[in-house]
This record gives sequence, structure tokens and C-alpha cells, in this order.
Amino acid sequence: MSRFRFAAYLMHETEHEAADEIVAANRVANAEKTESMLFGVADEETIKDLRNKGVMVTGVKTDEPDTAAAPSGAGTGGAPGVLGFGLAAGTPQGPGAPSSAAPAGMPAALPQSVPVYFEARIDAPLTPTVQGALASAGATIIERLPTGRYTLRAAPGDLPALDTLGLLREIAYYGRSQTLKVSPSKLGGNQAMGVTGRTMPGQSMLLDVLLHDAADLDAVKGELQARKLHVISAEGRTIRCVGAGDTDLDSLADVVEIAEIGDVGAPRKFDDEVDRIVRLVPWGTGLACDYTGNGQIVAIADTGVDDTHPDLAPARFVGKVGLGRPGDTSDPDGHGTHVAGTVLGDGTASNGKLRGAAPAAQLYFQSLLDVNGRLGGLPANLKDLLLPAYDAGARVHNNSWGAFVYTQYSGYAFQVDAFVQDKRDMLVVIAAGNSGSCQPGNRPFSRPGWVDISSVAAPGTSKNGLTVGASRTRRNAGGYASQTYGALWPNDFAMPPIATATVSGDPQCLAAFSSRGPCDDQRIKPDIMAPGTDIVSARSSTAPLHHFWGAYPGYKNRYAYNGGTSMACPLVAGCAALVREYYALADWSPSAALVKATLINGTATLTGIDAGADPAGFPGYHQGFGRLDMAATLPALNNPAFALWFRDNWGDPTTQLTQTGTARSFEITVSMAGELRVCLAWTDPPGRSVQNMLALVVENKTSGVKYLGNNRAASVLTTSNPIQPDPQNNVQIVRIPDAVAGDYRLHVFATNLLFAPQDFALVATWPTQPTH
Amino acid sequence: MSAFNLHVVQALHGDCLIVEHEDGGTRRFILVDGGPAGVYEEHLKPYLTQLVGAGGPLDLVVLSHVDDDHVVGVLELFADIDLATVNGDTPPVALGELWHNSFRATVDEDGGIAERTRQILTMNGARQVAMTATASAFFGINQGNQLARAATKLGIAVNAVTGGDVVMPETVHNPVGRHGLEIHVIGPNQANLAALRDEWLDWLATHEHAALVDPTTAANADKSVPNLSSIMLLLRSGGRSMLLTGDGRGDFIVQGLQQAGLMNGGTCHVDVLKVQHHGSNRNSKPDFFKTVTADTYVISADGKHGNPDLPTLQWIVDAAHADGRRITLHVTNDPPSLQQLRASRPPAQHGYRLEVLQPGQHAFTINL
Repeated sequence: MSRFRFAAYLMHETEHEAADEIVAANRVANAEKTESMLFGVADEETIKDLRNKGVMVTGVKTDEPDTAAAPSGAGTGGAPGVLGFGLAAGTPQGPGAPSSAAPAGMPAALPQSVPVYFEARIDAPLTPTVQGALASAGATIIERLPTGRYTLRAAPGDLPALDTLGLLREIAYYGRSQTLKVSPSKLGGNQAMGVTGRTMPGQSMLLDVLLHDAADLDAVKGELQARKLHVISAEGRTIRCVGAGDTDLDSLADVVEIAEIGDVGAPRKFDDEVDRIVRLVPWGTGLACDYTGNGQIVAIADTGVDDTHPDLAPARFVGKVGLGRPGDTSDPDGHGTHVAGTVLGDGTASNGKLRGAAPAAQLYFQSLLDVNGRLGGLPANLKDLLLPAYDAGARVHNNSWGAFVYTQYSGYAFQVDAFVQDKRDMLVVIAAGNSGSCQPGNRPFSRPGWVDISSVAAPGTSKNGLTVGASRTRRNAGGYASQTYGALWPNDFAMPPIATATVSGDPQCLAAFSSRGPCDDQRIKPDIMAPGTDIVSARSSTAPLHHFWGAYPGYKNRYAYNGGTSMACPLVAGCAALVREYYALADWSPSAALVKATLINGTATLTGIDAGADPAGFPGYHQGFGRLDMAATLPALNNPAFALWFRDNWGDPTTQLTQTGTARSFEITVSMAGELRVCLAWTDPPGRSVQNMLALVVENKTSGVKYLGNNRAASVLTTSNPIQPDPQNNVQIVRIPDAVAGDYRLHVFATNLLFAPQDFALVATWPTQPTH
Repeated sequence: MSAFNLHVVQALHGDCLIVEHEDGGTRRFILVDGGPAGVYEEHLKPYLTQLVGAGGPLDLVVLSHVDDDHVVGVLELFADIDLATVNGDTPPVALGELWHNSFRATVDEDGGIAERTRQILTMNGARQVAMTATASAFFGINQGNQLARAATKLGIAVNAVTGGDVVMPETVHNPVGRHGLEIHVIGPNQANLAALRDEWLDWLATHEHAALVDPTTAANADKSVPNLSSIMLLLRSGGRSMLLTGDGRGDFIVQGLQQAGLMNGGTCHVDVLKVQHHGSNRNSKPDFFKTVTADTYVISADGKHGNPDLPTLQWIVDAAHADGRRITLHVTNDPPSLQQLRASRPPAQHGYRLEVLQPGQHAFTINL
């Protein structure tokens, strides 16, 4: 009979009793029961019994041996039950594997007492018991990796004791192939994908080096310099450096303290198409929006800004700074002014017709354009970009730029996450990139003629940013609207159906060039879509018209069409200011996670053929969590059509999740039948995959029916067993289209916390007026 | 005799040429390059609309190559047509077709050179180190298919002559006929493009690491890679000929003429030669001007980067003088090198005439 490593979510006394019963009956191996959960390994029958008693159970099939069947000759001597894990099952590498075997890839003759790094699966939830056991055996968990394994620091001499715990499986020495992220067979000759120099021999390398531990910063810096790498910046866990074309990355990857070596990528603006849409609220509904961004400050880091444009009057600026050209924030390029107009232009030059999303918000502008016409104003560490904006009062930061690094979690992504970790109310909005293409790289997934997955740029691969992809506008004229993707970008879109689709026109479809997810850890990105084709916005008076997608008639040529995820991004940033304004009116100071959850909770699922292309699932890798839809995001001030409920505990440690296996529950009363939507988001600690895993469960209090967050997500559906919580995403949604009126409970479970405590934001909406 | 004229538009340090020919009594026009930023508004637009007549037909636009001193004016022309169209105004001209080879299609298929160059420019921009020449070259590299997209949007066929492929001797059926005009595409050929790619890779290999690490070096590394990818044309009408060379290199031009069967006894004589690369002596050797000769030489330059170089001017004059050919030099500006030419080779003694475009004039017209 199949066996499952499972987690049971205990929401009621009766469910606790059911769990206690099966544990008492010895039907669960490695059982650990916590405040709100039961973890362990059990057969199908046991799980069925639990479910029949109303308990929500998730799990994955496992070939771990039953406790009773564990060979006794493992030689670990671990006493069963000490940790509640049935440690006699301590044959982590399978029956017959000698526990004394050295981890894969471990160099011979390592000093026994000097800590090095390993990666391993941890066959247990990271409860304090488990973390404590690992710690007392000499191991520290460093980071959860994209593979779901963990990095651990331990001395080789501690391995036998660790082995005894029976918690670790598939232990491998953290060596070259982990640091370079390639299979061992690909090592040698600098073959790793995504690291500079791989396709063009002799190419110099601009690298981000990630350390396991910030404490080693100076030591590694010295090591890099000794190896003739030129260090550009070093802070925390990241070092940016330049290597020569003949730098031997394989041997560099042997430096124990280095966790990852990756490309920086050359940052660029994402404006292959330009123009902007100015509808303040829902596409097609014609409703007016009650919010204007009043009292909000949005920061924009972009080429420059034309502060003589009537839509961006001097009073709108709280500050502007030339990072690329000291003292100069002008915009001969046109990109930044167009972006600014979309965020908060007030439409003065067009008699109010062409306005941005937040026409009353204020602006802190960071000009990145340099003497060479590039984005050299970007600091090596994004903290130096985000902090001044934060200090200037901005709580939304727009980034219509990025670098394509094979969907990896680059230094830029790490820095965004680290910053938000520190300043938890700064929402960093990031364009996904314009690398969408039907011409796949070396790992094609999609069918011919369809846009391939895996093209999102960094820092759009960060976890705590809000990454924006582009959908199409409704336009059928102006800019590139009536052209086809195949005619304009023949190299990328050579075959139908995408080649013959028009650039704009069908708002249910995606912009073909919009970068797709997932990230290299299977995480959903982009998060949200917004129109990004043929967008009309402010035109800098010093920018030539040929920098845009097309001329816009009238208004003294003060507007132009443009397109790209660069143009979708500021629409979301502007709407984020509206969300903040909404909470400010409710006297609440929202976390970035709450603003993100609110925007994502309100999205419309795109129904275009490309938006739902393979791989299946929602949220998915093409459209993320769907398209921005402000009419379903914020209730109107007067006569609202729906109720919005939220919890946001970033300032309240007493309600945060403090350890694995705990939960927080909230009750809402849905006053009218209709769609109930819930969204959970949390600010995850920086690291190359989700470090702290939470699960959202919505429970109909009357019927007892339970709904698990993201249970249709592409990242879940692609695994062999769909009965599991989404392990990859720090945003989770539940949508019940036909929810009956009545009481519901919203549960947030800490299914695995590596770094406690963890705060979170939760939003729920339901109708208060009959839908029509 | 039907008209066959070359209109040389004031294009500062770039190129901007209009070819006029006649077909059955109808005047026809071809634009070759649009000059750098500003040239379109200042000179090309007023001259072109007056020459062609507002909204009149411009059969063909040829962009020789993507350097910004050639391409920007074309981009501005296309944008201006778009602007007029959306505002319901008469567009300056009605365009027929575009010949244009993108950097990506010709030299950098995987985009690697563009990516590396972007990296270098960004890193040095961050240090306030200007790399003007590199940035200028990168403009064309980076704009990629932008020009082609603008053309497509305006309903202009791009490289229809090759079915959308790169325009080169290997892909067209020479000569191409256009309204009675014979167009021989003599370059770039595959070998020229391979050579250009090698030039770029060499430049990257020599300068990339230092440019990323050391700002001083970066400034020194800022030397443009000569663009060897120019579309080079020999045009014939009514027994007369003009050779338009873009920024091509002398030996490649000769090679192209040879391969096209246009050399006669080891030399080629044309009525008008548009001297390659603004008269830079980096692109030519003295022998070139003995091998390829003309009655009229056109040099579009304004002293930027030292163009035209004095040696180039002297080679032209000396080669003609040695043969006893009387020639005319048409130069669009009067930089110091031209004054040095007058001093070192007085026109009267050396048998040549010098025509300089006067300030304020949009263009001069050479009647073949």
C-alpha cells in the first residue's frame, strides 16, 4: 500500500482527537503533533480515516520505510521516540546504505572539526524540536534551496551524530555543482547556463557571488582578490565582482563559503513597446475610481523625467535625484517620463483625458540614465536605491527595468528581498521583462507557435517584490495596435497562433513579448498582469518620437504610444498607491504584503488562449495571478459592491506565527452569496526559494468544507500528487465563485518555518450587493 | 538625356543622400541614409519635401548600416510620417520600400555582442565615464529591429528584394531593376560580415575586462569598431554611374566590384563616388583611389573624428593628378583638413575643383 508523508491541519477539537487516536494506535510513523498540525508518515487507509473525520490532510507519496520495517542494523543507536520521530527509522539513505558513507561529492581528508556546507532533504517539519535536534548535533540550517533541499553547516566530524537523528536524506557535500547550479556532468570549462562567458569564449564575467553566511564577507572578499577578481561591492551576503575571461569558475566554486555564483546581467529598460492606459478603474466597466493616490508618495527609478511636462507639475515632486548624471534628471530618452505619466500624470496637458493611475500621488524620482545612455545610475546594491526612496517617504517603488539571467534569483533579487525584509512596508513593483518568445532556448517547453515559459528577468524573480507582466490593450489603432507579433518581431514569433495575433485588441490575451515564469525554483512569476501594449502616456519634450511605438494625435505632441512590461509596471505601481490610500482612510498603515495581497486578490483571470497556455493551472506561469482589476480590488467609498476584510500583523508580534505547526484563525461573515476571495501574502526572508512556508485554508463553518490555497496552481499541478499545499509561493489565493452566505474561518498554518517569527497579510472580499 | 542626380544633404558627420533618376518622364527618388539626430528636421525634411513634393513618392529607402550618424534621420522620417498620419496631415513623403540589414541579422545572431557591450557601457556609465564612440555604435546595435518595426507599421515592405533576408550580393539577383535604374549590390558579403564580427570580438577581448574594472582604461577603450557591414551600391542609369559606399572599407569595395563583374582591366571608373566613411583614412589605402576612380567625389563630413582625413583627400587628388584626370570634390563642410588640402595641393596646380556646401544650404545637387 502506498505510504504518504503527510501533514494534517487541525482546526477543531474533534480533529485533534482524531489525530491523537491514530497516533495512539501506532498508525503514524515519525509522528509529531504540534499546536495545530500533525506530521508523519502513514498509509492510504490511515489518511482516508483522518479525512473521513473532516481533517484536511496533504501529503506526498514516499518510499520511506515504515518504522516497524526499519532495519535494525543501522547502527545509529538512536532511541525511538526521543524526538517523536521514531528514530529507529534512521536509514536516511535507504535500506542497506551504510550510515557511515560519506556524503556525495565530499572531498577526502577534510578536517573533521572545521564546518563546511552540505545540502540535504529534511524529512521532518522544521519544528523547534527538529531544529533543536539538528543544532545539538552540530548542524545549522542556512537556507531552503530551489530544489526543496536545505543547506546545512556542519563539521564532517558531526556527520555520524547527525545521521543518528534520521532526519536527513540525500545528503551531499555542497560543492561545485551546487554553487554553479549544474549537474556534475556539466562541470568543467565554465559550462553553467546563465553564467557569463558560457556562450562566448573569453568573455569577461560580471558576477554576483552569494555567501552562505554574511560573517564570511571579508574572508571571501580577500579570497576573490587573491584570485585576481575585481570586487566592485560587498555587503551582507552578496559580493559583486569582475572576473577575466579565463577565470576558473569551477575552482572558485570550491571556496567553501560561497553558496552561489551567478550572472549580474546587463540591466535594461523594458520598453519594446510603449504607450499607456489611463483607466483608473476596471477595464470595460466605465466605473469611476474613488481613489487618486492622495497622500501617497511613489518612487520611480528610470531614465529621467521631464519636469516641464504639464502633467507632472513641480508640486508633484517630493524630490528628484540624478544617479546616472549628477545633478541632471532630464529625460532625453523618454522612457522615465512615460512611466511617470502612467503612475501619476494628472492629464493637465490633455484636459484630464490622459491621466495616470494615481493623479494625486507625489513623486520621488531617481534618474538612472548615464553618460552612455544606459542605466548606469543603478547602484551595485539595490539597497542604495531603495533606502533613499524610503527615507523620502515613498512606500511604492517602480522599477521598469531588469536583467535577463535565465530566471535565476540573482543578486538584484536577493537585495530586493533583503530590503523588504528590513522595511516591510515598502512595496517594490518590478517589470517582468520583455523576453517572451516562441523561440525557446535550450529547454523548450511550449508547442511550436506558442510563447515559451521561463523568461522572467531579475529582480522580477524576487519573492517580496510585485512582478508585473503585460497583457494587451483593447486598442485596434494607434501605435503598433493593428500590427501582428509576427510582422514586428519575426525572429521571436515566427508561427501561428502568436505570429498572426495582433499586438493589441484582445484584452484577454497577453503581450507576446511579456516574460513568463516560473523562476528557477518553480515559483510563480510574474505575479500580476496589466495592459502593456500601445499605452498612451506623457512624452518627454526632449525625447525623439522614434523612441516610442508611435505618435499620439493632438495635445501639442505631449503624449505618445509605447509598450512593454515597462509600461504595465507603472500602472500597477500607481494602483498600489490607491490601495495604500484606501488603507490610510481606514487608519491603517499597510505592509507591502498587504498591498500586494489586496491587488492580487482583486485580479481578473485572463481567458485568452495564450494566458491559459500549458502548463495548466491558476495561478500559472503565463499570467501569474491574473490581470489587475481595480473594480474588484477596492470597494467604492459610497455604496460599495463588496466588502473587504483584512489582517496585517507586521506590527503585532503577538499574532505572528512563531513556530512550525502553529496556526492563526480568523472568522468572517459573508453577508451575501457570491464569489468569496481570500489572498494570503507574506514577506519571506531573502533566499533562493521560499524559506518560510505557510498554507492558507478557508473553511465554510456551516458545512465544514475546506479550501486549500493555490490548489490549482501550476506549481502544484505539475507535481505527481496534487494533494499538497503549494510549496513554492509566498502568495496564496482561494477563490470560491459560488460561496453561500454564512460564517467562514480563514486559517493560516505555519507548515514549515525556517526563520521564525513570520508575519503575514490576509485579505478577503465578498459581495454586498447582488451581482448583475 | 534623362535626369540622373545625386543630392547630397547636409548631414554633419553622417551621410544623407537622395538619388534622383527618371523613368518614362517621371522623376523617381531613393533615399540613402538619414544622417544623425537633428539632420532630418533641419535639412532633410525641408529639402525632401521641396524636391519630391509634399506627400510625393519616395520609392526606396536604403539604410547603409545602423550607425547613428546614418540611421537616426531615417527613424525620424518614419516617426514624422506616423505623426502626420495620426494627426490627419499630409505625410512628408509616401514611402515605397526599405532595405535595411540589422546588426543582429548580420553580425550578432545570438545577441551576445550587444549584451556584452551593454554591460560595458552600463558599468562605465555608473562611474561617469563616457564612451561616446561605443555608445554611438551601440545605438544601432541596440535599436535592433526598431526601424524594421516602424517600417512595417507604415506599411513599407522591408527587404522585399530578398524576401525579407539580409540584403547582400549573395541574396539579391544583381542588378536589381527599379524604374529603369540598375542597382548593383556590391556589399556587404558574407566575408565582410564575418570580418566585422571578428572585429567586435577582438575589441571585446582586448578591452572588455579592463573596461569593466578600470575607468581610465575604459575611456581609452572607447574606439569605435569600423562598421564593415554597409550596404554598398553601384547605380547606373543611361550609361552613367554612381558608387555609394556607406562606411565600407576600400578593399571590400574593390572585392565587391570584382565579384559583381564591374571591374574593367583591374579598375573601375564611375561618374560619382561617395567616398567611404566620411573620408576617414582608416577605411582606405592610397591604392584604392587608383583602382576606383571617378569624375566627382562626394565627401560627407564635418571634421568630427578628424573626417575627412587629409591623407584621404591627398590620395584622391594625387591619383587623379597622376592620370591627368580633372575631378571635382564635393564636400559638405569646410573642416581644417580641407584647408590643409588647399594649402598642400592648390586646386589650380593639381587639376581639381573643390565645392563646399555653404552654411544654411540644405544640399547640393550633382548632375551626372
